[in-house]
Amino acid sequence: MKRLLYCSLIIGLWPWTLAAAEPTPVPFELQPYRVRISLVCAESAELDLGFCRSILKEIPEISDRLLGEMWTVSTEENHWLFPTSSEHLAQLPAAQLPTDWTAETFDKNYLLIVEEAGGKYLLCGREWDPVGRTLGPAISRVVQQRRELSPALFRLAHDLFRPRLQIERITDDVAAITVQAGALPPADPNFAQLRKDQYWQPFLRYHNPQGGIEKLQSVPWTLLKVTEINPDNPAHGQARVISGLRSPLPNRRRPRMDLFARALEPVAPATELRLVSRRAPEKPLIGVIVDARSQPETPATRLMTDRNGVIRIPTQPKNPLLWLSVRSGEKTLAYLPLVPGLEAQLTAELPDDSIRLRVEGELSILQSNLTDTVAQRAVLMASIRRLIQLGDWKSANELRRELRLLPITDNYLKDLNAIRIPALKTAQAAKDKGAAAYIERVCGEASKLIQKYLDEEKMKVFEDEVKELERLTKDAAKSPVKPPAATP
Amino acid sequence: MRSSLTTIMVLLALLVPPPLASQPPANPPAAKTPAAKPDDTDQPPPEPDDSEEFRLLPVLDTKPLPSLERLLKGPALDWIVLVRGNKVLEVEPVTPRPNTLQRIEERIRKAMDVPLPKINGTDESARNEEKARRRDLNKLNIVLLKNDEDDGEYRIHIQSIRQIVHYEDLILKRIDLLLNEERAADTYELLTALQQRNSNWPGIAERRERLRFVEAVAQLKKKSYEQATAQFEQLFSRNPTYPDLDRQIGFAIDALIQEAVTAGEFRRARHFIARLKRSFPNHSVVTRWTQQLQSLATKELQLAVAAEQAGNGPTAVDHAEVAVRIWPDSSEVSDGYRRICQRYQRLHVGTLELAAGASSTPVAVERESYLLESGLFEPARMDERLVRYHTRFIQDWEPTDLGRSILFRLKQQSAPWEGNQLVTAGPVVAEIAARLDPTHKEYDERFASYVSGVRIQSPFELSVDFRHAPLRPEALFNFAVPLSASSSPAALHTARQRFVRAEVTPDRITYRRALAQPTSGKDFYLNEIIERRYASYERIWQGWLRGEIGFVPHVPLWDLARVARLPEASLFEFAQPRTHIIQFHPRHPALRNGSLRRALVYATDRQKILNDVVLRGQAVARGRLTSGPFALQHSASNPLISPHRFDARLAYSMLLAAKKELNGELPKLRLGVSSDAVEQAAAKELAKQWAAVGITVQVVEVGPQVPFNAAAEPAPWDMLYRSVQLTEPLTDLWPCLTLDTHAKVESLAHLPDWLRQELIAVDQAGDWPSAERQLRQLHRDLWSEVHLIPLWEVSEFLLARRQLRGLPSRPMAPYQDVERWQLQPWFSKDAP
Repeated sequence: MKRLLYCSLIIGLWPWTLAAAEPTPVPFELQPYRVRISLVCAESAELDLGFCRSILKEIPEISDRLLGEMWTVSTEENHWLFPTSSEHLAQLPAAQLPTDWTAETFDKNYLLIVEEAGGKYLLCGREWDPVGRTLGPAISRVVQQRRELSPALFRLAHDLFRPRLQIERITDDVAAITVQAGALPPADPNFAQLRKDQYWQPFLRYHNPQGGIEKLQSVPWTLLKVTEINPDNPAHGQARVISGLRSPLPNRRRPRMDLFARALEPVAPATELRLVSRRAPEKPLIGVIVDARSQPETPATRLMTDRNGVIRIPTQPKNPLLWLSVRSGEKTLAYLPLVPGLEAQLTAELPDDSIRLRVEGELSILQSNLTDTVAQRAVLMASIRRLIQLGDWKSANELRRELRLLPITDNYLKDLNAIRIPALKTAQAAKDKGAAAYIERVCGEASKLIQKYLDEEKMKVFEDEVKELERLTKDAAKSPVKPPAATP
Repeated sequence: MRSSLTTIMVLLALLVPPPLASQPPANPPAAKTPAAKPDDTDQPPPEPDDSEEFRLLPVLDTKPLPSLERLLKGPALDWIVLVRGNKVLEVEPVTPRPNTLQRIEERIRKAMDVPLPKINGTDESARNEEKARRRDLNKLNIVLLKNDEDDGEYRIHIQSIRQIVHYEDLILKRIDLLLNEERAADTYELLTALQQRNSNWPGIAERRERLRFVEAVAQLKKKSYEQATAQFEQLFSRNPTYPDLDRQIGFAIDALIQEAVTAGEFRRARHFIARLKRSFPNHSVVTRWTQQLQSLATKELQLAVAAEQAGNGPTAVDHAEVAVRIWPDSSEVSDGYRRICQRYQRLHVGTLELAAGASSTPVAVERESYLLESGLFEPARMDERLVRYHTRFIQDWEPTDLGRSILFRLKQQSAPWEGNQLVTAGPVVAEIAARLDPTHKEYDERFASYVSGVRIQSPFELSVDFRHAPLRPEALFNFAVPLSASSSPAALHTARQRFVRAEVTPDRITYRRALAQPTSGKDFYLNEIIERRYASYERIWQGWLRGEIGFVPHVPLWDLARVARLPEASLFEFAQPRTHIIQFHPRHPALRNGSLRRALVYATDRQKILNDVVLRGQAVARGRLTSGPFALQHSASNPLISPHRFDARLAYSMLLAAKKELNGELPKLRLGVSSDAVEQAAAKELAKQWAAVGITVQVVEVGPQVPFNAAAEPAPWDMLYRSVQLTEPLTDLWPCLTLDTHAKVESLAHLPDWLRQELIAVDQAGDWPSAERQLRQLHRDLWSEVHLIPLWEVSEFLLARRQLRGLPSRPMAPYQDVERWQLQPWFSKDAP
């Protein structure tokens, strides 16, 4: 009986026992970065195998010394990079990485290369982040002494290091953030991950029901700017969401979705922003005006895209963040935040505004012609009045004929329709509702303008006035002063 | 005194003179005394007594001549010299004149030849009347001067008169005195007065000749030899035998010839020899200088031959030209000249502006660029409203991959006129690469946007890959080869130029063929071009007549008819007209205002300026108003657009609108214009027309403005007057509008977005019909927005001597095909 009771107790408690056996997930801020450093020593007498191996041995030790628990470093000799040159490394596409690099075995992977050149050593490296699926830009360093190679390589790896944070929730454009391994402060405080005014780039990671990664989604033209660091726990802080989009990020985390951000560090003295057509990304937007402002009230720096659709925006040491207003005639095509230098090259896909712009041009010409006509009409009417005062009816009538030959409201409305209808058709064919609405709006305004300034009623009143004066003049001419009748 | 004179005259008139036969006068008149019968002639009055009054009368020998002032101011007077004591009476001019006494005596003689009427019975009245009439014939009516007591009229017997010195003779006497004193001006004045009084007075012609001679000698003394010669020649035409004339004219012309020879102006020297020869064919000065100049010419020719033998062609031509200038009539000299100049051909060009120095204009620079640069492709002719190109470097080219790649095969043989220098693919690729390199100063944004790569296939083959197929590859490759000295070795650089600048002075630039021609051969081509600057077109035509020049790159339209009549002249009309436009400074705040631009365009009476200033009422069909920056004949021109009309009222109305939009302030504008005389005159006229509606515009002269830095402060101009030739509007319009050498996107920043995108769309057009459509639309939009003021387009002509061969019938540029031009040796043999 006692034995049975014991068994039933065990059976009754089994699920609970099992649940208690599952390891508790380590908080994000306590998760160290699992780092892989893969080193290539280019063929050289100075860089023999033994020396390279000694470097690989030294790097984890340096990491332990400087970063402590923040990084867990594994090193390896690289055998797959070919050709073994920094140029090749700099141009290496992500697709050429080996399959084990794409798995999330490591949080951060660093591919480093050492080359000997003229008694100096050229170091080059790139970071591969399997979570964000990003292969970072290449960074190079030159080292004079052989003995400095190990610390320099570690330093290079750290320069390539882009920390990762998790966005907990967003309230009124302020995000609560937690940095990975933030609770594992580095031994050297200079290596702290979270700094005030630092920019981070958010991205979304979706999981499938099985827990695998379904897709990664970058959030374009959106940045996080660190505004506050929790003084008690440097793993936590707050960041302002800066975006050119209306609602760039969900307000809170959802199941099967991670909301991450990676740190951005200046990698170039300038950013080359390429503007392309959304409909045909191979088509650069040439000659597009971009106004860059650091503050809404500050005067804009006007830039214009070149033949490749590119503008080059240098870094701004004082106010790193710029707001770019992409102009197309009267319309602002896009309003984009950008911190120049964080990325060497960026591409912005923008809507094709050619239909709207063409209408703007056509209307500008129509308006010019309308101005001419209105001015001519006013001048002719004034001249006719003056001539009538002077009694020069012959010249006045010539000018009246000239006045009647001027384009009238109907002419302009026809011209306006000739602009509006084909443009509307094109916009509808292109399913460009914005352009269609714009065309309707501006053409409607133009129509009102035509009717206002070429008011036919005014012309009619003027003609009646002139006719009346003409009649009175003729009557006066017909009734001369009669001599007194002779008396019989 | 006056009463005494009156008394004397009464006595003279009333006293009966002694009979002619029995009592002849002590001093008879100079003229022969007519025969008279005692019964029908009046007797001379008795001699007056020796009264005090008579004694006081002046005597002819001591009476001074009236002064110059008296003679000029008048009143006129005659001197009556009495028989008795040569006393002189001053009287008003007597009639008849001249030869008064002779003519009276003649009249008497004629009267005496007629018998007296016979006595009719006892009636002698008729006979007596006739006798009285005959007696009256002996008396001369005179009016004494300075008589205020009576009317001063008297009659005096002619036998009392020794002679009459007429007023005209008094003047002549005074002229003689003045000429003795070499007072030519006073003489001329007096002579003129005399001529006006009586141009047929005997002695005037002689005095005139003497005056001319005196004047000429005076000029000679002042070393004004040319004026002296002219005077002597005029004297010669009147009196070839005038004493001492040959000696004096010889002296003057000798000095002139000496002066001309010293200055190296041999044509001038020959001119004076010819002039002297016309008057005195065997004059010693003519003979001496003819011999000297012939000898000098022979020496120059010898120097020319020596230089030629030393292989120094230009020096040989210099000497040969001097030789024919010294004495062209020598067959030895002319033969030598022809031989040398056939080998080293030199063309003298007359122009108002040079590409270098103070007279430089954009047109001159453009003209020179054809000589100094050699384009990979160059416009050759207009064909059905489109420009056709030719190339001297490329044998043929083959588009592949639907036009996205072109294989160029370079020439492996050159024509004799091209020289032996061949271009291989390497340097051409280097030059193309330079245009693709953003760091290179010749980087061409448009070119780089089209070309994605260039490869050398073989030493004479290269292929160029395009991102998108260019509409007209020739227009894309219409750039100079090589681009600059820095892009290729110096030797290659010069080798591929047509000509190089050999010498530059303020008044001339010498260009020499970059590649020397073979020393042997049959056909030789132009070796040297000397552009000479003249002060005016009048001087150019004079130079043409003197044989100084054989080519004029630009003929003003108002002179066309006259120029066509010049000897040895051939006129060539350019294939493309030149368009005159006004562009606005892109950063000028007021000129961004559309109303102000419209006010400017409507206030411009372009037809008037075109007719009055540019065409000067001549060749009216050669100029027409235009509505765009490119030629009306081009397919890009929109035929539906007509030029803006002139409407001062509308302009004023627009100006008021502009003023309102500009917060009531109209700035003073500056119109930049080149140093070209016609452009300056037109600009000044434009400024006047604008001033009439209230727009103040100052005309300022500016140098070449392309490429233009719009950001430069202070801006050199607010509006710019330009004359342009857009050979290929598809590619040329953009740089024209942005005042740049290349089509750069950044230069479009000042344009409205839609206009900028239109220009870009034209540049990126994928097919010719759409490119044409877009260009026409652009034409309309530029016109409508008054983005520039198109003024007029004018046909252009060049003038070449008939001896110059190889010019295209409708050239695209003044020096088109210059390397294959041939000049038959020619020099002016016309009498200078």
